[in-house]
Amino acid sequence: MTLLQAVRERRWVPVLGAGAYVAALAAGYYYNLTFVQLGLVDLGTRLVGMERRDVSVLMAVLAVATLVVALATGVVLDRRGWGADLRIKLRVLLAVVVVQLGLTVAAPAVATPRGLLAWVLVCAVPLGCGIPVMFSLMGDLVPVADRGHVAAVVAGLAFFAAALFPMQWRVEEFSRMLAVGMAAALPVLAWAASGRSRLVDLLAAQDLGPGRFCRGASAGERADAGRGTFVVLVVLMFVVFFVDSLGFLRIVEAPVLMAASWQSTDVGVRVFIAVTHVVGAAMAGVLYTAFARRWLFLWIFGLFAFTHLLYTFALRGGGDGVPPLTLPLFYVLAVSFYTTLNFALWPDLSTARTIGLRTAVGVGVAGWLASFLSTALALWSADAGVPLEAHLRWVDALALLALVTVPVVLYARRVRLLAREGVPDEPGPHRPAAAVAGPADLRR
Amino acid sequence: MSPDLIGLLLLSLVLLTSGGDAERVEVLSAGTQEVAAAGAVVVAGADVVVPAGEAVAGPVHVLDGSLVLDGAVEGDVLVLGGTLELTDDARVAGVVRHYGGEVLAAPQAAVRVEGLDVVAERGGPVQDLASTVVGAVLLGALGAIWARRRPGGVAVVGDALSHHPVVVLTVGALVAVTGISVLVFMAFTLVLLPVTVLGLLAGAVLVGLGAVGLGGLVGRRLPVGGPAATALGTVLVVVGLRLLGLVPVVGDLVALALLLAGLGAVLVTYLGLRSFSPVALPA
Repeated sequence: MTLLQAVRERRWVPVLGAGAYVAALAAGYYYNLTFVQLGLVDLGTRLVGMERRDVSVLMAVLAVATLVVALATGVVLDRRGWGADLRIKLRVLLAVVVVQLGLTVAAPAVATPRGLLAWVLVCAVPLGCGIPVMFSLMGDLVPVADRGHVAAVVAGLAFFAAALFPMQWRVEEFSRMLAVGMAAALPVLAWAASGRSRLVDLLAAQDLGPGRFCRGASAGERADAGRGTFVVLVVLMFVVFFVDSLGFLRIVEAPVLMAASWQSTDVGVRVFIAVTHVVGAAMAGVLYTAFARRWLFLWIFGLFAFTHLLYTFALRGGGDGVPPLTLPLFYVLAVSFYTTLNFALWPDLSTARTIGLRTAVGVGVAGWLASFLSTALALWSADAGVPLEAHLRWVDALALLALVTVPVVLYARRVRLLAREGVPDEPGPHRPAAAVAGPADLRR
Repeated sequence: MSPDLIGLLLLSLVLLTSGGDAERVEVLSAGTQEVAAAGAVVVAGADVVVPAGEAVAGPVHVLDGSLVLDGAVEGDVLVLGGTLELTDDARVAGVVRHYGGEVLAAPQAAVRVEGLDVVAERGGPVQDLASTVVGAVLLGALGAIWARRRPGGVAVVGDALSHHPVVVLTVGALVAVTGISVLVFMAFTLVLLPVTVLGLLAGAVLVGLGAVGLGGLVGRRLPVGGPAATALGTVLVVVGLRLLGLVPVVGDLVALALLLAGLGAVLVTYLGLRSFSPVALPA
């Protein structure tokens, strides 16, 4: 059953489930993009008056603490079987939103470095709990065949909103806007988590099966299904997030590039970026559903490598006007691609027994840890006076290295597989039999 | 950067590098900039000023944007688009060749302008018709040859177009946007200019094959069969695309989407050598 079929047959439960998932994850991701990542920088530097270097240390603390909580939550979800229990996950989600609402309202009142450290440590708890709970909901609410498209809708919505709103990137504005949004969502979430919702009962009764990349494994093997692939993909996604954030923060704060970035004062530029995010996410959704994942990674690394080369080129040859919109076009495409992939990939690499830890490791390590470590590094680099062009040269190097490494690793893996299978015994059309009839150890 | 400007830019870079006039070319595509003591300069969208008392070695090509010459150019200036403004103090040691855009020269400017009135005149309906007929015949012939040599190939591309239109459109759009940008970027290196030209030719062939794929689909509904159906279908597609171009905005967008879908279908089927089917997902 796909969502389209469900709509045709007027079966609204799966559609409502997917819709609720889209709303929840888009809102959560928007919160992460704006309030946590950008608001924290503003809070630390402007309101508390800390040096950027110290704020970068705080960001690293937040990343590590969030990761630890996420991993612990993931382990608990899997060990207790809560990863497959929709009602429990909704209750945890309710608690997460309540705590985050309090933190959001309290953020502008933080006035000292010690207070900010405490705020960061408390903030890590709901964020860490929220990661495996929120991302694993895809396994309960979205049919496997629709995950690419649903992930695309989430990424498109979150980035569209983040690119257009708010006008000022100040923590007070984020706080006001997000507190109102969370307060409005609380009653709905409380009703869903109360255990008296017939809709939640019906959603919990859906059996959507294991993820796309765990199909074919027997029930006993499913716990381990795709473990090697999972590790490789975590590393790849870590590199993607790291490269993105390493370049992004310096780019949006460079006066020469700001006019063509998210922080542009020109509404036209922001609308362009917002629409490109939606189009890019839609493309990624289509590609995720139609092609093997290796193609997606090649596209992502290719786009990032090219994007950063474009930025470096623009810095060398650009003037003082608005940089060409080709720059944000490619940046936005790359970001939309990998974000869509990030939403769909981890649930698709999991079963009900492994979804807690795998989403925690996937999103926590590849997403959070990479983003915040590289953001912290970018802040440190700005504070240390590393010129933007030199900084982007490092980002270029990383992006190109990743681009070259992926096909090389894929090819080497193929060679290893062929070597294990051995050289075929039949002579080829242009090969004499003697050429393939070597010692057995040479053919292994 | 518009396709017209990309073409002009490539032409400009070929002219500058093939004649050995320039070892270093500065392409200015955005912003407001002052240029001094530079070699060859291509103004491709930026607003550029050569201040009084400063000199540029040249040649200078103006394709888009503007160049205000208050100083000197030691070589020639070629104006293909945009605006060249020559102040009273402007001095051009070579010749200002004006083939397009606008040249505003102050009376005291020390320049020699040679111009040809060959630009900005859009061809009339007869010229449009002639180019459409030539394009249709050429692509129709390509379609017939392809269908005769590899009958299944056109069908495979057509199947990808009809069964997976969203996927092939996505692939086509992505490859086109990325491909054009990468090729332009390569052209800026000058060393890779021949690769850019080859890439653009390859792109044009792929888009042509995509149009033939569309033609194959149309040909299935025609009363003729075999290569003739593909050829006739392709001719109809070319004419249809031309007619769509007459509808403002929407027509252009639909025509572009069809061409991109054709390109995507050719790519995902490996030039029609393998039928395309998306990865199997559990329903």
